[in-house]
Amino acid sequence: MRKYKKKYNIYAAWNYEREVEDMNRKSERGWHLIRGKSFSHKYEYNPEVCYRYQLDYQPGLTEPGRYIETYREQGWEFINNTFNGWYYFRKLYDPSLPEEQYTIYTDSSSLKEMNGRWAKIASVLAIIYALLLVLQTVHIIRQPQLATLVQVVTLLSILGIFTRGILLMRNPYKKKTSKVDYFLTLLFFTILIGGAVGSILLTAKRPNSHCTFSADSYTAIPAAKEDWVMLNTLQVSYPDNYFLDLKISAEEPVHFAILNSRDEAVYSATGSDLTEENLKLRLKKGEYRIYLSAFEGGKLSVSYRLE
Amino acid sequence: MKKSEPLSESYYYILLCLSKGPNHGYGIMQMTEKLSGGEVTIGSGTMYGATSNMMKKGWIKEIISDEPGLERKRLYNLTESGKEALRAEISRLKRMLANTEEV
Repeated sequence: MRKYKKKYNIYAAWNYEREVEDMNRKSERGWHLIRGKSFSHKYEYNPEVCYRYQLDYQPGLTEPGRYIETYREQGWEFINNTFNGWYYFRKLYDPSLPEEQYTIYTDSSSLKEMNGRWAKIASVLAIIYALLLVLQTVHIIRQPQLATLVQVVTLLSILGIFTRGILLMRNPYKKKTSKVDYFLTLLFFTILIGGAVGSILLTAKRPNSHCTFSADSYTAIPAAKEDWVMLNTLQVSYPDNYFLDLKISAEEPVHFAILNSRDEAVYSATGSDLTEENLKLRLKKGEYRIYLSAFEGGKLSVSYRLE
Repeated sequence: MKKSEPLSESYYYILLCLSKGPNHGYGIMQMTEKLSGGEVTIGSGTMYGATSNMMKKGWIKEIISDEPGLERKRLYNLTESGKEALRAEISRLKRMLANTEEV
């Protein structure tokens, strides 16, 4: 009866030696990796044997046949590869053989080439992250909002940890696997997922309201509260900054107001020719209503956007 | 011709082994270990990278063996420019050795 187990794990690319060490240690205890994925490992139990494992990074491998053959010739069994270019190999362990028999990169230049392949692709990603960060930083300066803040902090942290990983991969001989790296790996994925989910939720729960209308001859609106014309409502689910664009052009002055649930005006203005651009309004949680009032009638054109 | 960079130990031994005739990766690895008395080993990752790069440079090319017992086996063969690269490296090493003895 064969015994299997599946284990979920997270390893950062710049920490792949740790993954190799873990696979070797498990194999010494009888659990041998038979399928390696980015986030999970499958093991088979057999106390009789012991393997040594190796990981290679070969994205966009052009000659898989010759590649696998080169490994097989030296006693390496190809296990599987991940979609993103990591190849898992193992070799039966014989303690009488020298340790070099279980190394796949036997000189510094080829090891640097392998690490460099990852660093090159990762650098392109880092540049994309950096551009997004610049974009979101400009956005947050123009319109400070919670969702954008979450994105900026997420991108900044990821870029920091990622850049450190790239520098480590550029200098493979300076690398040491440590507790700090493991902690940073966990932090990296926590921030990545937390930041993405957080900003999506915050954005989804952020309403906006806009309206454009114009009439050649609009009826008069009395100034008494009960006769006001409500344009829209806005349900704010968490406190955040909102930005108002408003353009009014009318024959007679008109009153534009945004009221909170206690009927207090968070914004109000009266005029026949009014423009607001990117006006910051700090809105608390609650329902808001947008009104027009105190208009004597005639030509009226109102356009606003609150988001 | 522009001055070539010194070859790495692995590249040098691969070219050296192939100067004796076509061989497969494992044969090159064994011959290297024997020649160097176990001092130089060429792991699979290093071997694949080195052979790929040397094929790109046109120093070696892949041939399929028709020898009995090795049918359909992938072999590497030294090209003229590969022989030239090896000769250049050997004369560089000789010069360095001669210079060392002079000093």
